[in-house]
Amino acid sequence: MYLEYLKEYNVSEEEIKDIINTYDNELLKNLNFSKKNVKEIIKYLLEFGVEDIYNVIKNRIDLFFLPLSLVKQNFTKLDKNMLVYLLNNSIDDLINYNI
Amino acid sequence: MPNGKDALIDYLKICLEKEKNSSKDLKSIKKINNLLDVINDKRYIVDFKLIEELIRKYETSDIDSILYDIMLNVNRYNNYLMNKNVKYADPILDKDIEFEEFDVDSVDISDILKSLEINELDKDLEYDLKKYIRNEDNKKKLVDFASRLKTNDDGEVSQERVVYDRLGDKNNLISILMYSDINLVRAVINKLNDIGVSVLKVLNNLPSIFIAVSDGKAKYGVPANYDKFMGNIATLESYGVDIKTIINSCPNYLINDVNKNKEDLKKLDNMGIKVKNILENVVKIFSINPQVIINNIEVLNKYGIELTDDDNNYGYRILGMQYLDKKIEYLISNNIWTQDNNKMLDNIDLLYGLLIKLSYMNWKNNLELKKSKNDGIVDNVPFEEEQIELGENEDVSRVPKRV
Repeated sequence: MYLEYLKEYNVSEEEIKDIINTYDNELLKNLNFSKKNVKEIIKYLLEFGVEDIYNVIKNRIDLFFLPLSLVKQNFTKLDKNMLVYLLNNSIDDLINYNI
Repeated sequence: MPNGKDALIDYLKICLEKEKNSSKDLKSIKKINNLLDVINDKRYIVDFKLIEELIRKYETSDIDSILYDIMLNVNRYNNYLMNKNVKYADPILDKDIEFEEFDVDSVDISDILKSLEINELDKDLEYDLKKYIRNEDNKKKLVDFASRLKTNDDGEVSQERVVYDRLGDKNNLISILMYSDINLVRAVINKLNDIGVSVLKVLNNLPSIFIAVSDGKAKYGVPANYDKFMGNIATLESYGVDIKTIINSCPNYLINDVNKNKEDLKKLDNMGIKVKNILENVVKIFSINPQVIINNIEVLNKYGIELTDDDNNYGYRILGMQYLDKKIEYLISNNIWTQDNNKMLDNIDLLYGLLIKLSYMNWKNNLELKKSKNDGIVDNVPFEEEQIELGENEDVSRVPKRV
């Protein structure tokens, strides 16, 4: 079942349903197909300081289709503290920094 | 739930858990996952026999009452689809997901897994592989394909070897071996070579681009995006878009539906907007929610802000902001952005600079914003008129030093 593994990262059942209702089923099937890559990115985000994985998936699912190396590269564009702040408080602003 | 869908999904998930905790029967797990796929794909449920079989297997009491409730939800769900005018079951596609009975335990895949150095597979895939290789021709094809991924006809390491060696999830390798072939893999790698991008930029994050729908091998439920990948690249080339930029910033755009992508780009064209500028700056948001960009173009028009054809215009990035109109209103209502102030011009670069500064000020003041808002707006933020030192290139996308 799609996205059940997100529960390992404190994403609730309701939040999973919300993600499923937000995005096209084909996109989610593809996300599921690269599950290992997705998990690596989630782990990296959590170590980086992201508090709410659901929020990032809900608003910026595109990040989870990048290879981990590119995610890391993108995250060097900004001061780490500011980036953590944006990821946790104002994810809408990330695009302005080409992230 | 009025349409029965969520109740059905919840029930099937409970059945799956029960199965995983008890006999772990591959066939049962596969049947349940198939049904969940059908519901997620918004297709009609027609296998009532399977539903009853599940209930009778997993419930110990009150079976008739549970059967009644579940069948009611099945009917609600099917009615819901009918009201949405969903086309009735496609007999050809449905044959693909027809559950074919065979003796799962009699098929041995251990030699194949050992030859590929795979210890374990997802249960669904294990079932699919067993079903696939019980046909001796299929087994031979799979083994040959694996061999050709490793070495070419001259016995040398092939360029396709990278797929074999560097695919991190071996479940994906099995899917590719079952549903793809050496020509498809070669075509993808050659295309990437032409573009100047390493296959490692897509291998583990978009493994589905090695599987096609067009050659009829892909199975229902398995993502198959070779055709979309190639089709979207062709579309982008026609607009003069740098494909390398797209792959490095937002590869998932290339597996969106080709016709939908074309329609969205046509809308931009019709608005007189340079597609290349949009895609090379905000493809990340355009790929998942193109309406945000289209709405924001209209927002900017409202304020008389021009989108220039300048290829290096960072200002295009603000088109990807979901709350752009709210932020503009905030800047105006707090007299930060005003038509009368002779420092303020009606151009996108300046607005971009102000929005960068707004996010910087929020951070500088270490403001705890509500996560559910995500819009980065807090009332009464002291937006100071201070000199902010920019980087050497005066690139406003770099974070200014704290002053």
